[in-house]
Amino acid sequence: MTYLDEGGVFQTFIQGEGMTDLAFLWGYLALFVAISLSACAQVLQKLAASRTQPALSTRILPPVLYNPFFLMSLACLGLSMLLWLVVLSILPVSQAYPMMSLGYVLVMLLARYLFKERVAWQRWLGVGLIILGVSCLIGAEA
Amino acid sequence: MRRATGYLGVAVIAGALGQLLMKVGVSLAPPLAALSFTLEAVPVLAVIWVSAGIACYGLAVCVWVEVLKVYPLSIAYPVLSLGYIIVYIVSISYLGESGSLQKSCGIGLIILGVALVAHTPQEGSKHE
Repeated sequence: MTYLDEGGVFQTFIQGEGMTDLAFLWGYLALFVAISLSACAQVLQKLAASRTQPALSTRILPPVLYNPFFLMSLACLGLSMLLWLVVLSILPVSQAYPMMSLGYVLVMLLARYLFKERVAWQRWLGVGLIILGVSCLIGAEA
Repeated sequence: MRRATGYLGVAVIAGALGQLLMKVGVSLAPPLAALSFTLEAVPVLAVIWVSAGIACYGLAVCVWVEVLKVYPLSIAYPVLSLGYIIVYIVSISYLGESGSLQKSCGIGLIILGVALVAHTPQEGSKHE
């Protein structure tokens, strides 16, 4: 049996007499990093889409695969998926899955401050409700 | 239109199913198995469940493009988040997860919030 952190700190939280609060903290940390990475992927795809594609008639692959922003977004998505599996191994899926909605909040904030997009008040209200809902979910498992 | 509605249904169900399959899969493996890259310690069954989950997720992503050709985000996103309810019901029924009023309210608030975040104000009402 060889896997990362074998006999290490992490396992003692997870296994043994059940989950401790600290294990949940790791789960939430992984969740927020996973969500942030997928939000970054969205922004990178936006950057990739707004970048003009040079004519690359001699190349075989679709031109988008030569776009560094697109490649970075794929890397972010892959890493995010990997971390999501870690999240699911710690948190209940009925709690973690709805919390993915925080991604919409992050993307909206990034669009607001990075791309200077306009954000209507209804959408700020939505952000508030999502955060409230996520707080309920975190509180419900504690 | 009808076709896109079907795709939207597929996206919701495949998205939810993907999460449930991944959850079942990782529950069969050691805690940090996803980060270990050495699959030797991971039960084959876990890999199968997780792969099936990722395939479902991939299917959801593929049909999503078709959905967005017809439906605006202000409809597509809130409908997609109905998958949270599916995951909630299935996971408390079959995966032994806990359900509570607070958890239900939290999920309800999130779905409402998603509907508002995806909301697109009418053209002409630019009072920002």
